[in-house]
Amino acid sequence: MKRQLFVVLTIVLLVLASAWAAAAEPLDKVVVFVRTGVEADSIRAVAEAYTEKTGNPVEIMEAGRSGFYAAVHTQLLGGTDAFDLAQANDVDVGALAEAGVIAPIDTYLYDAKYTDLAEYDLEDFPFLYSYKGRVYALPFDVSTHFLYYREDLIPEPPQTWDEYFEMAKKWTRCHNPDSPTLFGTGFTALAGSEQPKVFYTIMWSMGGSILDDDNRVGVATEGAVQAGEFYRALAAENLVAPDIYSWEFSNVLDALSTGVIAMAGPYWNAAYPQIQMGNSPYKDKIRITMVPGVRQEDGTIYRTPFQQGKILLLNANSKHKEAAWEFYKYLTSKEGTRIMAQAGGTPARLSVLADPAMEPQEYYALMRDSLAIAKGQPGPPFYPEMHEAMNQALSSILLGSSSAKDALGLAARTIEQLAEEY
Amino acid sequence: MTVKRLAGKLLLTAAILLVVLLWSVPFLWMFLGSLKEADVIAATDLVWVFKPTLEHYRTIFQKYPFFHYLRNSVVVAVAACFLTMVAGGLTAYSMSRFRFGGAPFSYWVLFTRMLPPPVLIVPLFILFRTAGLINTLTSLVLANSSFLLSFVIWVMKSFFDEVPYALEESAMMDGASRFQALVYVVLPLVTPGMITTFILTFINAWNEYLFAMVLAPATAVKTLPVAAGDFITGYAINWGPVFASGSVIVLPVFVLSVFLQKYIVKGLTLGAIK
Repeated sequence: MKRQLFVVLTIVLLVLASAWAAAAEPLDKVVVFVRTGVEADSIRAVAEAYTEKTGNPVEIMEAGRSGFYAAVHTQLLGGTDAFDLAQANDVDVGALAEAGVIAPIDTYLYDAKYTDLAEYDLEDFPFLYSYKGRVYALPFDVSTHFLYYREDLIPEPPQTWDEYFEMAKKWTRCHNPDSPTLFGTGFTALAGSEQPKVFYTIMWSMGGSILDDDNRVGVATEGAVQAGEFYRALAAENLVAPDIYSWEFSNVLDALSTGVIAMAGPYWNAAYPQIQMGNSPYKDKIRITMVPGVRQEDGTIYRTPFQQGKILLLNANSKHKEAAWEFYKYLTSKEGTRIMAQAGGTPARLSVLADPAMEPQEYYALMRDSLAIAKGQPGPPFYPEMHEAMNQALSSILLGSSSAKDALGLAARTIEQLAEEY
Repeated sequence: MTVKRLAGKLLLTAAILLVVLLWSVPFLWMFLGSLKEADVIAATDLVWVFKPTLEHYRTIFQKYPFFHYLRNSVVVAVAACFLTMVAGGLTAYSMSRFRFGGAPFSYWVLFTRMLPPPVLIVPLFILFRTAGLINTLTSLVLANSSFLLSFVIWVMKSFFDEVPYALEESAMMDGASRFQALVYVVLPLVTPGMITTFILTFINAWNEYLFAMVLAPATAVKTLPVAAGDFITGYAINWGPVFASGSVIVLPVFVLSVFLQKYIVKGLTLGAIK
């Protein structure tokens, strides 16, 4: 009897001990490689909350903007295991998945052992990022284009590109000597990641396209050429700074904040919280609205703001994939998204964007409205080459060294060749 | 002094001042910017009179582990310099005295100097990843050493060539070994050149960004140039901390150059007069 009792107690104790050990054992440390600034700050805030809640450690590895994406690609292609998750752009999925250096997340996303889909609510995301039928990423942050304008100068914002052009002319000093602003408008035109995206917002609304579902190239269509001519006219009429080709995000922000320009657009949503938190003497006069579009025959305005998601990619060489998914799941959960938004990020969940408690409401309401009609660029494996072809075309258009028709024609032929090769 | 000579002297002084001004303006701008408040830095007008602030220095040292990054940079630069000077110096000596490798070896050394760092970064990354050295200071020391070795060899060879072989010969005839002749006879004569080479190698290793960014981006092993780049965020350039970190990066090299300038001048002019 005593022996049997002893055996039963021993078994119970062993079971309890192993259960405790399994429960107490934290997951492996997850290393997340992110860009410094808002992204790192917001993900760090979520990581701290996650570690406090679960006991699972997360390390944030930061690097500055300069060369960040090149460093991520080099590290992944070199087969690193220095990090488990890395920040990337949505268009990186195709090329990196094709190279086999990132792992799909659907293994964990659609497995009930890892994810309660009912609670996680996939429908709450505006988009998922897939390649050849596998899901590789979900957005933790979204970006879209707004039009920024000075309410004291422009009581009613322009609704069409023609109105935008005329308004820019009105507030350019060489056309209007009484203008308090030097130039009517500004946008990121530095050749690199941003220039084509600004152009696409204009191009799509005028009927152009990049690639359709059948990989047909549309950057040299009539609508695209019209957009190219509009792009050139802004520089030719001096409605933008003469060095606009060197302007990136911070240059536009500085110009708007210091009163050099009356409008900024198409321009990223992320600037608005920075203007509100900054020391600009005009911050109470700067407003945001939908990007202009093209008036249709029925009187409606066809607008096509650009959208892109910031994602984390699961490193194929990560030794802690399960732990990495647990953090990724928490980061993109409703709870994680709210923490991220409070830390300065832009939530990627529609329910959080629609929450009336989110402040400033005008910002989140415009995000929702813009994302509802926004378009994203395709992310084929030849995306870097395609993007470079567009950069070259747009730079030559802006500088006047090539006509819009010729420049975009060349870009179209380059992209067609790339599409055929792949 | 004749008028002509005075005019010539004044002209020369003016030219020197112009060159000094052109070279020093970026550094002065950076240093003054590190002491300005953020809205003064962003002002469109040039501001000469302002209330100085140390907030940017407080930011980089208190909010970020800048002392840790400084330590990493010192370790990498000093170790890389030491390794490169020893290996490069001995190679240069053997090339100078024994014509080691002949002309093909000399040209190969020169050729490796022409390789731009981006060409090396992916193979180096794969090499160090295989060796388990990614995110370690060792990878940076080895990467910097391998890249700077050809420079040290080429420069030190020219300094060794300037020392008459007869001096070593006479020392060896008096009973000194080859190594003793090198250490007690040759090295004291090329000390100015060695110091110049050391400083130039140190500056290169100290300022190195690409290898540090790709091979060791982790916080624990981050170096100053990479850390300074962190203030260029996705949406903003935090100019105050950028200027402050730039000033911190430049200061040690500036101090080193001031203390060793006598040797730098001697090293640069070594062999100019025969």
